[in-house]
Amino acid sequence: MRIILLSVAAIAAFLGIIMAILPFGTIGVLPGVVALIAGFGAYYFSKKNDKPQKLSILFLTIGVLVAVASGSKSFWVKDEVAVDTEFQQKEEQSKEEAIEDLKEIESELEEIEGDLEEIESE
Amino acid sequence: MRKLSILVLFLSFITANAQNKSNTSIGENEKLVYTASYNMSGLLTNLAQVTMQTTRVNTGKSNYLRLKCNAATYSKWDSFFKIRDVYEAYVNPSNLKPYLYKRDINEGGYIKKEKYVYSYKKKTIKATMQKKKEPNTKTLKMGSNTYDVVSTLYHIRNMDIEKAPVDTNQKITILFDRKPQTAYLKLLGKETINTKTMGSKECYKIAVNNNTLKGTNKNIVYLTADANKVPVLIKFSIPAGTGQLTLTQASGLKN
Repeated sequence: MRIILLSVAAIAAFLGIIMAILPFGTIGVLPGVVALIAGFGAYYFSKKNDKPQKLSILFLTIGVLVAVASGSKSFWVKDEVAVDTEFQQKEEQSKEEAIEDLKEIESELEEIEGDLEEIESE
Repeated sequence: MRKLSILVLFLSFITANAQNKSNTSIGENEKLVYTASYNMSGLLTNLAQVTMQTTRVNTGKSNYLRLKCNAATYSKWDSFFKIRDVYEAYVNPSNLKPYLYKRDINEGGYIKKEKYVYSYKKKTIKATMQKKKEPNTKTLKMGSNTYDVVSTLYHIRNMDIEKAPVDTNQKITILFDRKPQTAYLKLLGKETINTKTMGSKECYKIAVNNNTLKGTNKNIVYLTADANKVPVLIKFSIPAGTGQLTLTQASGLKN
């Protein structure tokens, strides 16, 4: 049981660290809590069977840190879009090009209408 | 990339026989801002900001309404997967009839450009697509009520939804990636939705069903049951997962 709990705590701690680093928001709390519970369980069985407790304490600590870091993320990582001048310029350029395209469409329409009028007058 | 394309397609599967109806819902300086979230293990994670904006454009001879939709990932995601997409349609301000459509996407380095030029006299659409290579142009036959994603997205808001029968499917066609796509719209009824910007609003609940989307009646668009028909909440279910777009800011509404 101790080995199983240590393995679960190790996997959860690893996932928790990855999710805390990546911008996953509060979802990183989940592996943190799992690492904490499994770490605590492993600590209990280690103490009961008189086995080394260092690893279980390590995963328990990681679990707490990951849960706190991920849980508080919303306070220090805001949902903001970076100011992207290149993107803004691209949008503006696209609009200018569109105006030219629309002018072409208008002149094409006029030509067609002109042709139609000529045909009609013939 | 495919996930986002399916999402965009879903967002646009909302048109009908409103193409010649005069514009009663879309203002000239309207701005709607959404937060796009993705469901990860039951928790919604905010990924990107989607902005839908309208502005007047003048060519010297005519006025057009520029319908611009852009999507940009939040800065926290930019280092991992940066999205900068722009979709535009230039339409007649009085009836929302499109003349030009442009798409310029950059999704984690995947680049694609598209341009549709509508010719109502010839009843054709000159569709140009460019990926990495040279642009490639095709001339497509213009079907009745078959338009681009952006135009269709705005056309739904101009529909007489109040007259639509509940639980009846309505077939629609949209041009995406130069291919016509068929979908079915179903008005499921009305529901009250709490929004950040507009408070509690009674909304039309519309289901969008299509082969590329997942499940039946799982892709839902909530439009305010008023003259503006603002999309306040859009729930999507695609093969890659589920998520939603939530309205966070609204300004310049027509009514």
